[in-house]
Amino acid sequence: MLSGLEVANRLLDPASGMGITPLIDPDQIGDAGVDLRLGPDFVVMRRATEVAAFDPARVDEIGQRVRDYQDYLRRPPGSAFYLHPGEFAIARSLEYLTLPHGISAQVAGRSSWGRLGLVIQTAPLIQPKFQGTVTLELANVGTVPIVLYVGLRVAQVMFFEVTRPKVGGGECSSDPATEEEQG
Amino acid sequence: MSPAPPAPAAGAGEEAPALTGLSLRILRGALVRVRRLRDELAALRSAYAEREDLPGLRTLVEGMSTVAAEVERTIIAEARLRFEREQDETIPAGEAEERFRSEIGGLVNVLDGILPRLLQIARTPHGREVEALIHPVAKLVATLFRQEVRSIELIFEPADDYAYELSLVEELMRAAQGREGGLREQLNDLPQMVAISYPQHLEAETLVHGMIVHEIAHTVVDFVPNELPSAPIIEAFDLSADKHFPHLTEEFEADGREKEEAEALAREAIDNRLLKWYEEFACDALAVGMLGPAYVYSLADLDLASNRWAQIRGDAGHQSHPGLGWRLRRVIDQARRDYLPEEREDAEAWTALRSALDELEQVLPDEDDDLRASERALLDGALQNLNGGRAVKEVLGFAEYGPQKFRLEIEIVWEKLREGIPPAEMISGRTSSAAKLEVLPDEWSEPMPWQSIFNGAYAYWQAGLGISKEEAGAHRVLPDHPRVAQDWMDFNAFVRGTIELANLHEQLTAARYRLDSLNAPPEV
Repeated sequence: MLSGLEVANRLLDPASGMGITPLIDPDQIGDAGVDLRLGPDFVVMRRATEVAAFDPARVDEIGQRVRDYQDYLRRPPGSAFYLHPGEFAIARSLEYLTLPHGISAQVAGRSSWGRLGLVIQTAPLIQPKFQGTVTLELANVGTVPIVLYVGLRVAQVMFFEVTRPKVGGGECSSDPATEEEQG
Repeated sequence: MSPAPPAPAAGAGEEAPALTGLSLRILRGALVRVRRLRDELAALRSAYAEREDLPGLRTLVEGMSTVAAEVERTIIAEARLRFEREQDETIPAGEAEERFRSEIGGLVNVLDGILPRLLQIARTPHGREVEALIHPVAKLVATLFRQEVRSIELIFEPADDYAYELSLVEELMRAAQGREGGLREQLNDLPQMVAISYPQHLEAETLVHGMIVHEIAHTVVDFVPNELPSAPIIEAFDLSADKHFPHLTEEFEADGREKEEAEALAREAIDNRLLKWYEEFACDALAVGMLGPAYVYSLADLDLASNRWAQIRGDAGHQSHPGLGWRLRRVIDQARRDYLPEEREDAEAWTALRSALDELEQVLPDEDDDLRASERALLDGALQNLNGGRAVKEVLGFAEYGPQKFRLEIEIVWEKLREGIPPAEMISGRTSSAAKLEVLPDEWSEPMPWQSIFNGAYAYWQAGLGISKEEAGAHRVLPDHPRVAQDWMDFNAFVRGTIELANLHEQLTAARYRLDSLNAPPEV
């Protein structure tokens, strides 16, 4: 695992091919990882009022089903987002990650939020050569609403050297504010 | 910003008095119209309540709601007065009705005259793709206007073409003419609203939206010029116009016109065409000063394909805009002179931009305008005055995109693009020769200015690098390659997202200490 200082040094070296941007505050870099902030974009679920399901066996219609039950919204920096008990929302990190060949990452929640019932991430592995923001699957599994603010540090990412990386692959992403990782 | 407060409920809930006959029909028609308008405005207010990205539109809806509420209150007051007069036997019936018709008709005409255009703007919020530019452009405008006028809110309006509209509050004020002071005061308290239109079909082509700075320049030149430091721009033209007016008159006289008629024609040529062309050139110059060489490419990307190289009389727009060839030559000269004055072998972005300027200049066809010799001399003189003096710098003030900033930052943008990193920030110690850190610094980075992102990105694209890797080089040799359009859109999306990240950096840095106290809930 890369230490925080090692991560910082790689971010300072243009030749490293590694990026976490924007990093608002160097305090986000901890001893063994980097805190990620909650970005401004959310996808919230609409309540289903008819018999419907996301059924991977029905490949032809699952995409439409997902669109039918999801709404996109954007909140300004610093504004509140209420996550009620039992609710699920998709968010993404504020930071855009660029990983070089040979570095992978793992995303986790922060324990202080977890103790309030907030689950942050269900697909934590990020592959080498990834470029994009990190998808955060927010779920309030507690019994009391949780207020989140755009820009808060809600997750953390740890970086690892891949000892024998597969050669090749990787595709340049498009919009850094919308590109998300494929977990 | 919190949602706009509801407009004052003047008139709402008040019962209109029981009139009869024609007065009743007039009253009913007027009230239906104004209440329907208020309903629509209330719906728009609800729809935009959570759209923090629409401050200008929300202000516009608020202003219109204020006007509509005042109109309804006045209609009911007039109806009450009419009713009282109906009961007063000393007032002739016809006189009371005549006054009522005139007052209500005046109000309805005001609504019909000013609100359709404003409603059209209010009903059409901008799309998601231009959102990234609102914050930096609003900041640019605030700097440009030096806060000498009341605060300014921008409205980005999806439309057919780039344009601007300054007079939204003035339009509302027209409704306040003759009304009580209260309404005027409420409208006076509103921020100044400036509507910038952009071509809806190009919404996702972020780099082309560099053209917005040209429209911003127009707002400076047009907006109460005596109160703003835009005076040098106009002075530069006036000086030349005074000098060349006699020659222009002589040319018309040489065509067999009487002196009086020749003078009128000369004045008409100056007012109807030369001044407009000059303003376009001046706004191009201001635009380069605000955006740097990227403006050249935005202008070229917008208009190259339209074949408006020159202005032959009768061509569309020939009265208002000079030919594209002439405009491009001028902005290329300015970009080279002010931003890229010399060769620099060690600077890749710099070299790419210079080469692209040379390449573009070489392919420009010659102009074929039908200007008279003295018309061209007048314009040349005005443009020389503009270039020779410090007019552009004086007008721009702190809104100028400094050449030193450009020089340093486009290389950082270029380098990050090459690594696949969005160039949204400048990390203080980021250099290949940096010694390894032993402790973390207190400050890490600053947001990258959007102009530097534009210029670095255009350099990268012009060098043929902003394309999917497996197709590298294909664009130049095979412009009809199937990926060419998709690569352009992908690259624009990357630039747009980068600007959004830079905006977030700036806004969250400002909120950093507030957020830090919230960063983790209390330990439980």
